[in-house]
Amino acid sequence: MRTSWRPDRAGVLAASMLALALLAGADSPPSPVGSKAGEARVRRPVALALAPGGARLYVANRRAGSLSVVDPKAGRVVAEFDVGGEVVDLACRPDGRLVLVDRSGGALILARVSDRSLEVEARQVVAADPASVLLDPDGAMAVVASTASHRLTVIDLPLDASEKVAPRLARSIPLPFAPRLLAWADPGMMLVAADADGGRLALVDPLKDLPESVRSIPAHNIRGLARTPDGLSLVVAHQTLNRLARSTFEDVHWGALIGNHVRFLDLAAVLDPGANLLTGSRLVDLGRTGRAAGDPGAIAFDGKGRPAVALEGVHELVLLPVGGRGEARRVGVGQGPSAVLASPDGARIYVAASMDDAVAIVAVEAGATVRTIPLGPRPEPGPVERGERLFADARLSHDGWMSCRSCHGDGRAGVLSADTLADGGVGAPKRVPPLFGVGHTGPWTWLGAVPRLEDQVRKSVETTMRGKAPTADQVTDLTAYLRSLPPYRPTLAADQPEAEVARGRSLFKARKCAECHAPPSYTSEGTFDVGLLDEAGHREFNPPSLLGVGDRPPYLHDGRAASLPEVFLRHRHPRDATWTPEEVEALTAFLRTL
Amino acid sequence: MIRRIVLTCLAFVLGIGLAEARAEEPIAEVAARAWAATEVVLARHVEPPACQQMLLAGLRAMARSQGVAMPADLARRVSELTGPGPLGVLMGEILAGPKADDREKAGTFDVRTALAGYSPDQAFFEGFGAAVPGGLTLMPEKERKVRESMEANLYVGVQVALGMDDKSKRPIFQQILEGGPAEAAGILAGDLIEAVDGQTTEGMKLGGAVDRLRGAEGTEVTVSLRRSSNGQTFERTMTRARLPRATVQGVAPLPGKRWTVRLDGPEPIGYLKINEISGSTPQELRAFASQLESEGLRALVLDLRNVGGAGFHPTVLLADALLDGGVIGKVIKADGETTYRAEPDALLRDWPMVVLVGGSQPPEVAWLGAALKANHRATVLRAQAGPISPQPDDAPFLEDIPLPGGDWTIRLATGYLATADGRPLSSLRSLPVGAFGNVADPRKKTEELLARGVQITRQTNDALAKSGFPPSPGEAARDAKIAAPLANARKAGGDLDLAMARGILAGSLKLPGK
Repeated sequence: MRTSWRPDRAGVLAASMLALALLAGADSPPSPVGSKAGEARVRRPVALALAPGGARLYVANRRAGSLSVVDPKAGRVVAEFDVGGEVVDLACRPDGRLVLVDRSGGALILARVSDRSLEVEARQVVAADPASVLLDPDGAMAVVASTASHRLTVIDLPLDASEKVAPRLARSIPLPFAPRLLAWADPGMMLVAADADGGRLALVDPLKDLPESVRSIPAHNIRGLARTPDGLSLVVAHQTLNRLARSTFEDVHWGALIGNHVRFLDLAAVLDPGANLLTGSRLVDLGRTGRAAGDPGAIAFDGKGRPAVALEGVHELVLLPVGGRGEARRVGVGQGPSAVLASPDGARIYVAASMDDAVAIVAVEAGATVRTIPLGPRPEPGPVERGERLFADARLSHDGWMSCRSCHGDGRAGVLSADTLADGGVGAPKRVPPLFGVGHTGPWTWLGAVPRLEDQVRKSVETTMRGKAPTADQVTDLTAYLRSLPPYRPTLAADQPEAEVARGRSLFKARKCAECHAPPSYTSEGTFDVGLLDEAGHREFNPPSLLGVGDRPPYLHDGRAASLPEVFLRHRHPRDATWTPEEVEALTAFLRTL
Repeated sequence: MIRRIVLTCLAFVLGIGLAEARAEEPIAEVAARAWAATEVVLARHVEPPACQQMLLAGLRAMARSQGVAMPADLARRVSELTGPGPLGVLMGEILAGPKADDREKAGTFDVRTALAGYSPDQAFFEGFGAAVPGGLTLMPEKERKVRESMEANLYVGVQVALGMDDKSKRPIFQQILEGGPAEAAGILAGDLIEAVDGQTTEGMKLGGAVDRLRGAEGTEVTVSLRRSSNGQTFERTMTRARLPRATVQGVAPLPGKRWTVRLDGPEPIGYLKINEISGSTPQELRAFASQLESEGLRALVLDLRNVGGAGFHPTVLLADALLDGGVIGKVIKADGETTYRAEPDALLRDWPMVVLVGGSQPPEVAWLGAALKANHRATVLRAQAGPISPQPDDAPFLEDIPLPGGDWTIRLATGYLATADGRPLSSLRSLPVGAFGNVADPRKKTEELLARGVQITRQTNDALAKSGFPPSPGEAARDAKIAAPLANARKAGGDLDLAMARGILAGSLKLPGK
């Protein structure tokens, strides 16, 4: 085995549970025909739902595109059915039907599932790049958040004459940001959509075509969003990155650079579109100096209303008191806890350990993982998969403050600027680059100073994350993972008027944009003075790839341009270029198709 | 207290350790370093002195420290210098020159005393630095790292202060920090160090002992000791570790390094005291902020009167933690200015806050006070009469700049601190003056103090209103609330600055049932 990370306790536990399961195989009921539960595959569980009554736990496996049916009481997998695509979220209707989100297929899937079979009743296409689904309390309406499309899709789910669900597209709601998570602020009436990149929150009435309000909290990487059972607060799990701090050992150590938090927002303020979201809110630090809580994510509440928050980067669940204040307990749950759900009696928390392909069961009072259920056999991981695990592992950083994805999200750029040493010094914070197709966008850093991706990986771990020097194997694996990331998939192209796009394309050619932003990656290897100057006196920058550029404001090295038109009209890119508003309209329409 | 001890340890190293390390250095290298430092000062200093002025001051100090006469045409020769080579030649000539006569000795008695025991290069840089506005510190790379870790509150070591025992001429443990590795090993203050890791300390200078005790986190060091009380000898092994100093404290200590944070009295007012602004301070303040909130307090007195040392970067982060956006302040440099802007969100959002500052403090404290005042975040009370801050060139922005080669770093003033609107810090004289620092002054009568308190409170009303604090039910009620604690404090001979702060906060809070 070439793996170089230490197996953690939960991992060992998972392995031994697997051995037990294999030993006990003879006594277990046989899997139904078509079940993939016995197949060696990478599953990556990322979402959980309970059947009405709680006798079955449904697990959405993103990588395998499958659904695992788990008997939580017996602690075993009953069956696993292929759904297809990339299943990234699911919810269960009161009638037991499942609503699944297929990200790569861009669809909502309605299915009936039993221990013996999964029957797809309907597929409904939604805006591209769907990430999550929210059902209203009676299951008659679904809202899907589509990240790269910057849209919510509202779908009614009535039953037809033959008692099958017949989904009907109700509306598509545009948002000024890329949404990932959804939660009810007022169940069935008003929901909140949270930004995948920065800290924007939209208050949305699913019966209206536009959001009621879009407000911001100082946050990025919002990976947990939930209404408290008492209906008083909306809890947001997120990180913060301070532009005034630097990626020195000192600032990382003292938690000045990156923070891992939950914020309790006052629901009354959330529901009042004119209110300041921060009024009456409380920010809770999840970790502490010496033991940070990298990458907080999914949130569940136990029977007493106490929040449990998955710490994806440090592979733990943190159990908080009601309201988040006071003694926090932390429980190891296996690598990459991506989803959490309380048992019907509220005494246990089910946790999807995405990187271990397992479900952990945590007993809240005992504050311990009492069971780990492997979802099936796993193949020996290759470099890409090992790199993926490392990418999400905050143990690479000093004290667990951050993982690679703390700033690089799901390869998205976020809206972050960070004062790292990537530009050779401090005092000039720069935009975090996206990682789509990053293998083709060298040389790296804004200054284009790093010709080998391996060197940039090593540099990031050592001088940004302030972790121990990564081993050669770790660097190889991380680089393999980065090189495996596909280029950005254009999602905004469909919204652009064709004639404008054509005019923009000609302009792009006529104004020689491709001299620096050369297709197919729309970047090049040199550095160019385009009339920008950073705080450290740098004038020459390596042009960033323009793929997906419409999906990631703000722009230029320090994010000084809030929108694409601003790049040209206000900052006169490149080098005091003059543009008419009509030209900018055409050019930006073209850029949004990349 | 702890800070002073640790910094004592640092001072030893900077003073004595260097002398030992550089005793045999060829004069050409000293000249090269001096020339490089001159060039850095000219290139980076906010108001650089003339090149000749610095070199002349350095050469004079060097001559005086060695008791040699200065060449009569020194000024002219310095002005003709063209590079490090000729400077080295001149340095060599001076050191080989005749002894200074008595008249000159008498005339420079103080200087000679101050420079006694300095090596020529140390004396040179003393004089050189004294000619640079805002001062200049020259550090070898090793010492820069130690200093950086001190300022970040991340110093790794056995956590002691060393001294030299006059009788035995051996290093001695002067102070042992609570909770550190030396304390854990049972070492007591006064224990004499006979050997470090088997190496005898006989003839070892203090800097050498400090060097040997230092090392990376988690590594071990063994010392052979003689206990002064009973003459016993024994060995102890310590594991080098971090021991962050607590830079923020509350009202009264509780077991387990915790503090009470509520001031006595009916009003829900908290109290925090910052003793030093270092890397850990914003983090400590965050932890205290959640304690203040969970104890149901609603207003804060932040006492900065005892801040003895403040790093610029931690001060920026502290200001950011307390401000919800807005401009913190500026640093003005020769080639432009940098504006520091707070990120959105603040600790203790919307809480009425009074910040107490002292009369003579690091300029960063005044800079912080100005930022809080300008953003209507706090009422800033100056504890003592007199200028709160030094003149602009006394509020330097210090930067560490490595000399070519990387072995040495100089710290010098590359800018000065200015307020958000670009005014130098001296304009902070407009801060409200709480002339209550001198509680021992018998001439001040209670009535005068009360009248002054009420007057100041009225002055601060505007600021309070602007910062969104709820106006009090009435001026009279507010004045009465201020008068009561002031009168009590006066009677008890207590802390009138604090009483004043409490009065202002009590007036700003709408108390239930009042």
